[in-house]
Amino acid sequence: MMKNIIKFFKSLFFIEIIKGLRITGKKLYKKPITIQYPDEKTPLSSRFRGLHALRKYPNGEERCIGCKLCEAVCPALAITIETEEREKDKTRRTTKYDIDLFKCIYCGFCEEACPVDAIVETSIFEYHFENREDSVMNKIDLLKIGDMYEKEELKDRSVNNL
Amino acid sequence: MEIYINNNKYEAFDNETIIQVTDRLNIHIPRFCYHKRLSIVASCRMCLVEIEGAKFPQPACSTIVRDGMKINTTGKATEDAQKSTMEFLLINHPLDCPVCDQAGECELQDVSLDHGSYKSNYNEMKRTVIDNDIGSLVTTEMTRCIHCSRCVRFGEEVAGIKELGMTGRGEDTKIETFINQSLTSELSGNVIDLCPVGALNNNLYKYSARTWDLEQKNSISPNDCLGSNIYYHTYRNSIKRAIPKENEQINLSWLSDRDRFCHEGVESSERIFVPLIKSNDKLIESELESLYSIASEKIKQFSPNITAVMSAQSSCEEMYIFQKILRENGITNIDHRTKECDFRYQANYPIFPSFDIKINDIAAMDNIILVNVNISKEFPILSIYLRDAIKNNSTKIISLATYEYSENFHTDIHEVLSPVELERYLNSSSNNQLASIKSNQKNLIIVGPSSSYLQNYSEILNSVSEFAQLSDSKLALLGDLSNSSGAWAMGIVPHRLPGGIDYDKCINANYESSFPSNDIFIVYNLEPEYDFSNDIEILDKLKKSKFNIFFSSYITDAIEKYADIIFPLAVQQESMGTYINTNKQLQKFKAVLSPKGHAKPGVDLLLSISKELKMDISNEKISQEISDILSSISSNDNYIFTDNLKNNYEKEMLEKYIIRSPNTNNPTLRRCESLLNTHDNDNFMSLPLNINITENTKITFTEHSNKIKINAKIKTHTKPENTVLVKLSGRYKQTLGSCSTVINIE
Repeated sequence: MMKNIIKFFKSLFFIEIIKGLRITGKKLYKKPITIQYPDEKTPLSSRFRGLHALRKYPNGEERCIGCKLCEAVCPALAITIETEEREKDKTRRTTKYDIDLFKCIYCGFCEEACPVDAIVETSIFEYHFENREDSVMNKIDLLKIGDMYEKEELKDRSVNNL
Repeated sequence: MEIYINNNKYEAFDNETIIQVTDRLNIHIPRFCYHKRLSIVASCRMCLVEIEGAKFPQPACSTIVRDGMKINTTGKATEDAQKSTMEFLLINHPLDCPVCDQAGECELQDVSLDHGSYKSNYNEMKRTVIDNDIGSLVTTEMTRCIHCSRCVRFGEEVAGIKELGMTGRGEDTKIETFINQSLTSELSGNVIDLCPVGALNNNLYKYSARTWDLEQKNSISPNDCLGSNIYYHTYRNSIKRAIPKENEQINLSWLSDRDRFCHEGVESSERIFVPLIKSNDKLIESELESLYSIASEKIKQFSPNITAVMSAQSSCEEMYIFQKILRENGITNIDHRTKECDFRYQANYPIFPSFDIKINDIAAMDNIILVNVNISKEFPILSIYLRDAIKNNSTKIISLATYEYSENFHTDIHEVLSPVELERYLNSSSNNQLASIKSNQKNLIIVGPSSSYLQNYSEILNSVSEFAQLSDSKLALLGDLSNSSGAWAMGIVPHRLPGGIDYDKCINANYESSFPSNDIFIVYNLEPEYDFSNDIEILDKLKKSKFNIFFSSYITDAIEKYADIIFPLAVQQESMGTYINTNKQLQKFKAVLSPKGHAKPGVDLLLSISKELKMDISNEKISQEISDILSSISSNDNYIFTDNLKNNYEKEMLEKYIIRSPNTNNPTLRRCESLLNTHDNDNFMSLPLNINITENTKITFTEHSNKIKINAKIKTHTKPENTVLVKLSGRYKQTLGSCSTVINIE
């Protein structure tokens, strides 16, 4: 009974609305923390796990040796690799290196498993596909991203003391 | 006797080594150089164990158990010994596991994880070894070698050819072949399994998959009548490699190269994946349903003027349905012996060819006579048993060959005789070296499949049987394909029904000419160019016939030219069935792969045709019927006597015969390029010395009014006399004429 009377008076004098408006009034004169994406961006950790890339050695040789450890460790089965012996120097190389970005959960296990630091996750997080099949990144795409982001990658690595 | 291992009491036998006891009891002791089928060298020192009372740890592989011995496989002394051995082994072993094909199944990797130390005191440079090319089947990465010498001992003790050897000492020790030679033994692939690290590896498998991705599936060898047990390792519906499945009655822990590398042919570009039909002299893609109805219509329309030939590589189920469809529609010309040309023996042949004794009993024999069989080439697994018999029982081996070849075991007598001489040699056994064989000894005569290709096969069988009876020997008949025994038992011969029951309706009881000319030819998994005793004759018959139905997995020129319809047949690895091996065992195999494209297993194709013909055959009934048939077969001895043989040639006549390589005996094997390059790369025509030839002589034969010219390297031989030998390997593009015949030379 008493509860209902208190509730009646609270709603009669707009007490809850006034409480809410007090917070609005306080914030109205403070500097906003909103970031104007995409004109402005939040800082990213050097360990951020974004889009994948395949790295190369400074002499232009691809790092990946086709050991398939990333394929084995991937919990989402997003990586598909095919390997064969490269004619030129009889080394083990991949003929296919596909990552399905729809399957990928960006856990970073592939990076950790890689014995030659070939597969890495860059800081790129803004990308889109116009066709469904574009979600599968192939080896050429990944190497291209690797070329573009090699400098940043090295910087991140120096920060992380890798 | 009683021994104590880790304070538990166990029973052990006399003269057992510690490692044999622990292996039997499933107590793990790490090892590299020890292998249960090889001699003991105790060189790797990995199996050191602590024995109470002994000053130092002792190698478990070479220490024989004593009564009351107290062994500790997990104590501190043992662990220390293991750790330091591991550290020494890893001094020179490269850390390239990510690119090594052995990774995941590597004994060194496992032992390092279980018993190794994570740090090394060694900071100097590692040793590197230059790799030699030792053939197209086995790759080498000799830097990885840990010198366990298993491969060397295998060559000496099992394969019988010392191909790999250890040269140099200390750090310079290397495993090498003898000056740039490659591996040639038909058992060479086994060093891949023996190598505990990735030093010797499978070339076909190289860098194509990782061990942890592979699926292991049981199968039976489709290549010879021993029926070796195989594990196929598959990945994404393709066979990556084959390894032996241990079977104490057949292949022990070994596999012949033929079985190990035969899966290369499955991936051949000549596979047929779609049903094909001829229209305007061109083969075009069609629907299976329409082919079924065409085939059944033609069978109904032309019966009984149909000749049907089937490969003895087919499973018992395929054979049973095949003959049932044809016989119920009045067709009697059914055969699997396409490479033979002499059928006079057939009425007296045993129900199916078999080894008579079990393969394991070879070791107990006193005398073994090999009649025209190059065991180490044709049946490499049998050569292991023969070597064992020689070693343990000092068995005397007599080899009667029709051409010069080498064996990897010691033969006491090695005679090279022409087919006619072979027959006479056996007939006059009292005046030659066969006289030493007494009937109170255990004797075995092995007749190889190459004899069946000869035109005097009946006479040879007769002479062999007479001699066998005289000397009280067992007679072993080896089939030329994986299911030759099954083909006889399932009635893929014109004169017998399944179970060896004589068939009265057989029109041509003598069956003088094989596969008679007819309106329709049904050719099941055979290639006209390579699988028939006379290629000219069969191509001529196919040309003359009105309609040719082919069941084939691969396309060849002749099939393309003469086939009217082709059913895309799945290969053995893609279908399930049963084989009867030479030990009279029925062995089941399941499909290892799902059929590629629209190819279908033979059983499915045949069942669909039988449905079209309104016959009531079902899959479940067949397997029951087959096992009923087999249980009803009573086994007799293998002696084959044929009466009234007319021997109508003289000694001076010039004979020709074709040496068929066992590495090309079925369509899949013919497409295994790596295997053929290693074991079967010689093409030659060998002439007896009494024919005068100069280098530029062009040689033409005439046989049965056909003129034949053979392009091959010309060699000469002294023995056998009056015989021209021809051997062409792989998929040759020539016509060779009859397999064994009298010729005139020009």
